[in-house]
Amino acid sequence: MKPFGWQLVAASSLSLALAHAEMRPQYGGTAHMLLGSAPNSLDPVSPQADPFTAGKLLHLIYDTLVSINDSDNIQPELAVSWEVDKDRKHWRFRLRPGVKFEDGSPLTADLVATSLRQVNTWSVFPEGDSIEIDLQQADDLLPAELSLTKNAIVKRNESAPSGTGPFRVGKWESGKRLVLTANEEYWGGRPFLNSVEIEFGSSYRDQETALELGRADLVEIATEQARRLETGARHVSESGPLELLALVFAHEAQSTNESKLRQALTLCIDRISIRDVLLGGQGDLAAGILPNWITGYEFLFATEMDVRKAQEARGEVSQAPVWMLGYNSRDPISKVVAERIALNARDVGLRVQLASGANADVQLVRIRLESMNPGIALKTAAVRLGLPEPKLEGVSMQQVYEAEAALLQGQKIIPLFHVPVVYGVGGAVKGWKARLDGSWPLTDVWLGH
Amino acid sequence: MEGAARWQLAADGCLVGSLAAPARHDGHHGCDARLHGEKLSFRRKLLLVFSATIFVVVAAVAGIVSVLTGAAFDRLNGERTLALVRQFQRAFKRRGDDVVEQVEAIAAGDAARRMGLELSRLQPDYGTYVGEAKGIADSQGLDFLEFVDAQGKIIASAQSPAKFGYKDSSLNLAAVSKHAYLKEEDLPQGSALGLFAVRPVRDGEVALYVAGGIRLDKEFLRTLDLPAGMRTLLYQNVAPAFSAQFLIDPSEGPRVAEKIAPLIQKVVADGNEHSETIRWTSNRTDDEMMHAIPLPGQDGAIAGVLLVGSSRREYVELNRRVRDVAMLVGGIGILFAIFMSNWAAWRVTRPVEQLAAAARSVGRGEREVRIDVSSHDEFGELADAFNRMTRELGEQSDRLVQAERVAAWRELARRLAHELKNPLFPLQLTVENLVRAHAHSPQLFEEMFDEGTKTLLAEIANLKSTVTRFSEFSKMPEPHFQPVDVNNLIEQVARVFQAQLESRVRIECRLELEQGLPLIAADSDLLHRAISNLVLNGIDAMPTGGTITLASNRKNGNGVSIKVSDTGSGLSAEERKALFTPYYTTKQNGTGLGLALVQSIVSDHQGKVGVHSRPGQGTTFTIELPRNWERLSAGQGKSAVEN
Repeated sequence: MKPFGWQLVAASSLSLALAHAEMRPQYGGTAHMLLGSAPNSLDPVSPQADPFTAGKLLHLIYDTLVSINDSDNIQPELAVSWEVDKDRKHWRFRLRPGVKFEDGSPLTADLVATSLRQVNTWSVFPEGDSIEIDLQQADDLLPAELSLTKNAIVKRNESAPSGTGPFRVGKWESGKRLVLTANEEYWGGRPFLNSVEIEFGSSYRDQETALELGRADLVEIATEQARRLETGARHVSESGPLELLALVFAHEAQSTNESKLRQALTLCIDRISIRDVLLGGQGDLAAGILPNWITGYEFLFATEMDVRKAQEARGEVSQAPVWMLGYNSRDPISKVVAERIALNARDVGLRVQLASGANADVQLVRIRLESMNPGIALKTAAVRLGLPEPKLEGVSMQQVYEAEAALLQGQKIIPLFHVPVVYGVGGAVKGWKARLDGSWPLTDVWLGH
Repeated sequence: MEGAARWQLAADGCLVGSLAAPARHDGHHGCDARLHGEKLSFRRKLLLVFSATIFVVVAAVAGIVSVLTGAAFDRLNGERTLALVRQFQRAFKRRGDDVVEQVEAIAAGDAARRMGLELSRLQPDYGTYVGEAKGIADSQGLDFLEFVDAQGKIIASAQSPAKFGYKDSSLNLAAVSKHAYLKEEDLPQGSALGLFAVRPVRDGEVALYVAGGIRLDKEFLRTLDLPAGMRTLLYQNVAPAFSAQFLIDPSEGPRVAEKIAPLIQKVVADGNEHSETIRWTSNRTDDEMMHAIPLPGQDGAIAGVLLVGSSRREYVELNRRVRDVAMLVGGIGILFAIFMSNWAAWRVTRPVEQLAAAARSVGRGEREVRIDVSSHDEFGELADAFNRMTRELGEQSDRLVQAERVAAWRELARRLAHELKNPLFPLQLTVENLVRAHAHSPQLFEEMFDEGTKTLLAEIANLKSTVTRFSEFSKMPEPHFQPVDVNNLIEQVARVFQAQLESRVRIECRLELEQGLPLIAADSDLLHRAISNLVLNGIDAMPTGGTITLASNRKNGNGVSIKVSDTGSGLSAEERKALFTPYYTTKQNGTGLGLALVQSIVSDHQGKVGVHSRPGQGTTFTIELPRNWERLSAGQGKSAVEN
């Protein structure tokens, strides 16, 4: 082979090696993250203004006994196995050995039982290297419940609460900044990142600007901006459509006339135009509280716009009140969506006026589902939406469907859209794999150059 | 009597007057108004005339000044309003040209071109541009920006992003105006008025239009250069009925917008300019002259109303100053009028008052009253004539007194001759008989001497009695005035005659005395004698018995009245007429001087005595006496009041 040929081979090999080097995980570095809202507290049991984001963040510090993957399968976390008796009332979870808290103390059944008893009314007691949970009624959703953030295993002592997660709290400036450092002894393996620095309170615009300027590695992206960023060759990570936009009334329809007016409102909203234009084509039209990709039955609820039927329903009521439609003034797209809904309503003779305050007749809300499990997702969503919490015992989809249908029948909620949660990922972040549940795979990412 | 009555009336009036006003040095007590009832004094008439004259003049001047000032203000206000309107129109046109320029720039820009090209596709993606309009509008400084297709369907809207797909019916794309125009824009939070321009986009196969504009708001009005005291407002005629929320007012301060509603409605109704004074508050300085000008839109309908306000504070304050000065001048004028009226009245009425006082003095009987002649005008002539009159009156009075004296002497001589003649004749006859008897027969003389001497002595006694009465009458003393309780005096008289009346069992004495009579100034002895004479007359008039009544009561003012009544045979008219004539008597042995004495005493007390009688019904004598308090000395009067 001529020297030139060898040079070529050498150059190609070097390039391949370099490229491969880039693909190989590297330890070190600090990922910078910007978020709009801060958690109220770093204790999982504290109520949160944004439970979804707070839950994703707290899962970096604490572990639950189990978790649910994108396919709604229970995955072992701090519990390696579990079993239930025939009556499905007595559960036993065997704990993972060798797990330590931040202060170095080992995870024990006592601590687990104590942690769970602090937030639940279950009968929880340690049994060797396991814990046993006795329920008064059979509940196949227990594992899914245990995957919720509130049931994270926390060691509470006189100082701050302590967890077993992949990161530890380095510095916490409440409402402003949180620094997480890698847990060297994490049972799942030390994260590649040395630390994650999270700043709170930035608007979508500021977060996008920081991402553009390289000052942030991970930011939140407004749903309606996702397509624009994608076309701009930016790395955008989307969850499944698990954020529900809906109109929620202050109370259920209390008369036939009110029911007809709400039906008219449901039929007059031009969801397709709103989704395609205002939401940037993101998300799916929603007819139910839970998205079809989680339940599979959402298509059974009607969503089509029918102006003629809406006008007929409106015409059956002699006098329609003026509805005050509230929206989140900090969310720019909410205002525009509310204005569009008001215009649609006016087209069929309904009077809807916008109000930015909390005391409105109907509110345009956005909530993110907290679990991939339909039953748990429906229960938590119902609580967040102010609906009656459905009583679900099993994992039967039939039960979930009936429960959701019952909630929708009261006409207190008009689902509009399910949209994804969108994150912008900086170019230095490697190994990011989007998850349907919207969680942050920070334990698996590393910073490259 | 008549003169005395007038004096008493004058005295009453003056006494009342003296309580209300101090007495002046000339004795007049300032009671003209009281004396003459509701009549105004000369001084007050003069005061009214002067005051009215000054008031009318000052009011007329103030009114004329006020009217002229108002006209000047209105004229100036009109000029300033016109200038401001022209300024607004220039600013309006300038801003309109700016809007046209900005819209043209957008229509020629990249975003519009891209949008035009996108629309040309089979399935255009409107979502890409829905948010662009706001950014482009902000960059160009526009408040409104819409991209619409040929049918007027909104592709992107900066002011109403949610309106994509809706048709903007307010745009008339068939006749796009070259200039900017007013247009109402329907916003989610309500309608607003804007200055718009529309331009086509010339890229792409599908027609695309850009409609941009600025909002007419406070900032727009603040760009106008306003003179002091003026302001502009803009009413957006975007609703059928007036609403204060559509009124744009850059000025500070609370105003009740509804007060301006009628003016605006008038302009909107007929499309003409109108002016009105708006009273914002009860304070007139807050009044404002509002000139309303209609602002038509593209289709000719009234899109807005420009209001130019001009404060009337200056005018109102000037008016107030004029009024205050007028009042001050009027006040000074009235004071001057008071001074002038007093001076003129003094100049005119003083001589008249002097004359009146002198006439009253003459009426009182003073004969040496003279008025000083200090001027050579009509008043001087009047005074001179008065002096001549009083002098002549005095001379006439002297002559009359002289004649009366002569007549009185003749009457006295006649009466004396008559009274003396009666007893002298028997005296003469008796002496002649004694002489004859002595000459013819000493024995007859002896027989006639005793009887003769008796007759002589009796007649001499009669003569002596007659001389004594005349002597008493001539020796009537001057009355000595002191405070006298009339009731007490009457009781004394009654006690004196009590014994005499008791001896005559058929004569009863009754007392009817009013209690609480005021003290009067009188001579108690003389008054006692007068009442006693009347009582004696009454007794003599009832030889067969009867009742004699002594009564007292208060007379008008502070005087008293004393009545002595009998139940005798009464008097005829002729007898009543001659009753007070000296020497007239109905008694056989009367001298006829008793009632003359009574009259003399009463006259000395400035009183009057009267009689009422009818035959067979008895007789009543009435003595009326004034208080005469001025006849007391100062010490006597004071001690009498204290007692």
